[in-house]
Amino acid sequence: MKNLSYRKDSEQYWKRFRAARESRSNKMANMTYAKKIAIMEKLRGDYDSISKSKISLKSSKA
Amino acid sequence: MSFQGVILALNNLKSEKIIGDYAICGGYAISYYLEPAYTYDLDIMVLLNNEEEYHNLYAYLRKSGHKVENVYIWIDDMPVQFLPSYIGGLYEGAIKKARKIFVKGIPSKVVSIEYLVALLLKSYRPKDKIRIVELLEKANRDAINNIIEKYQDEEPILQERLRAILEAV
Repeated sequence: MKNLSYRKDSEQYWKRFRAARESRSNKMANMTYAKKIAIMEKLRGDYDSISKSKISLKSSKA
Repeated sequence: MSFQGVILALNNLKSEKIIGDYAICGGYAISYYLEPAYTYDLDIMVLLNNEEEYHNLYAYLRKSGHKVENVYIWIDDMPVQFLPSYIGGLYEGAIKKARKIFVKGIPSKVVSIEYLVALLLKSYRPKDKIRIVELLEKANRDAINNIIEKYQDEEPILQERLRAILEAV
């Protein structure tokens, strides 16, 4: 069966995506522990502020 | 500052002989070897001989003004969970063979990657399985096998779980 072009594009996309993801992951894994801790503390702070936030039912328009 | 604050508090516990030693485990240990990821708490394995010493640790921290909430002790805005070594040989081995590190000049210890894999094989939650796969790429397989063999009588399931993961990847 002939491959459809979108399928080819999709395969290419995921190939590039995985390569980029792996490269970023390796780069981050090689950072110093102090830098990693700083990122983790930022993530904890962000999580705390998101979890404590409230959803406003009011429209943003006055 | 909170992580550093905990490390300083742990070093103080060690010098005050409230604990024999300690090692960072859990999410913070995983992030030492892999990319950093969000984790709610800091898991610390502590070298203690019995439950009495564990109670003494909690009493000491309470007396020092730290809040105790469920399984956590809040130190410098960080929920810390203490896992005592007397609950199993694997825990004791993980602390004794932990890797010495420095965080911004402060000495500390983190469990070795091989012991970390063994500990994750014990907890074996879905997220642990993903981490095991990633850690295996960096770990020494012979060293993992030696650890699993050493605690075979106590933790017979580890070998089977490792085999299942290796077959799946």
